[in-house]
Amino acid sequence: MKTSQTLQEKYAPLSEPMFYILLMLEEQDDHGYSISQKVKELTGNQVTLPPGTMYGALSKMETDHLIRQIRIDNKRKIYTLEPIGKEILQQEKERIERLYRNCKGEKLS
Amino acid sequence: MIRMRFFTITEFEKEEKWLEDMAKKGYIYKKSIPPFFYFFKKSKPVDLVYRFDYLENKADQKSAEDLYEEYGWKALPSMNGFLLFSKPKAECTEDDMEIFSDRESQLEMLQRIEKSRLIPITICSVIVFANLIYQTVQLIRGHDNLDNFLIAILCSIVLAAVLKPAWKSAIELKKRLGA
Repeated sequence: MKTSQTLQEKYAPLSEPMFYILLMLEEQDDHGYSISQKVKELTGNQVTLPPGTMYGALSKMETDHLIRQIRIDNKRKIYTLEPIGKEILQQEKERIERLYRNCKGEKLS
Repeated sequence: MIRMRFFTITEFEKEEKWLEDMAKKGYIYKKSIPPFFYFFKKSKPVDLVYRFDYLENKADQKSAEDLYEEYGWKALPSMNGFLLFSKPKAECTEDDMEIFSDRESQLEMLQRIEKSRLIPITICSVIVFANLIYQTVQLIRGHDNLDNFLIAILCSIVLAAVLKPAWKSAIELKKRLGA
């Protein structure tokens, strides 16, 4: 298992699909298709996570223990967020926050 | 109906297009026996979208198919780690016609093919080409082994016919994806 330091480097910055998947899993355990529907709604149809992208992102993050499969519900794999995934998501949120504030012309102290 | 056609391992986009064209003519893909045979069922012409994904692991293939089906894709019999899906064009909105939404995940599919197929085949081919050189030298020296030489040249031609378009198509796709 990789140390959290190298994993954070590997995943920074997070790709948009991975960011949204982690963001949704932070709210509640869920399966791929449902995540894609929620993201679509949340972003006003601007971010779509089609199955190839979804499957690739989920299996990659599962391999690196950012997320974990907790059960299978009617062929649907339900995932939960792992501590390292949470850490990586938090780091990404802070990065986006910084970008956002700088975009607005704000200087950070 | 059976049609013969050959697509090398990285020409999946060409193959998708061909299957779509066949469906437009009323030939619906049923199954294939690699590397040449495609079986079709005659029907009325339809607009179908075909997409390939590639996963080496059998267990992954099954669970990927389950996920694709939730998105309304029909999983079709495919071979050699390639997963094939279809969906009527009429059911697709503009953004669910593709199975990848970013360059990164599309590139990762290509990398999976490279890692588990293209590179191993290329390494094997080095041995085959080396053998061809060896057999040629033997022939020039006047040793009587024409059979070996002919087999070596045949293997080399087959491999070159697979590898050259495979690398060409992989490189083109990578360029397009900005890698």
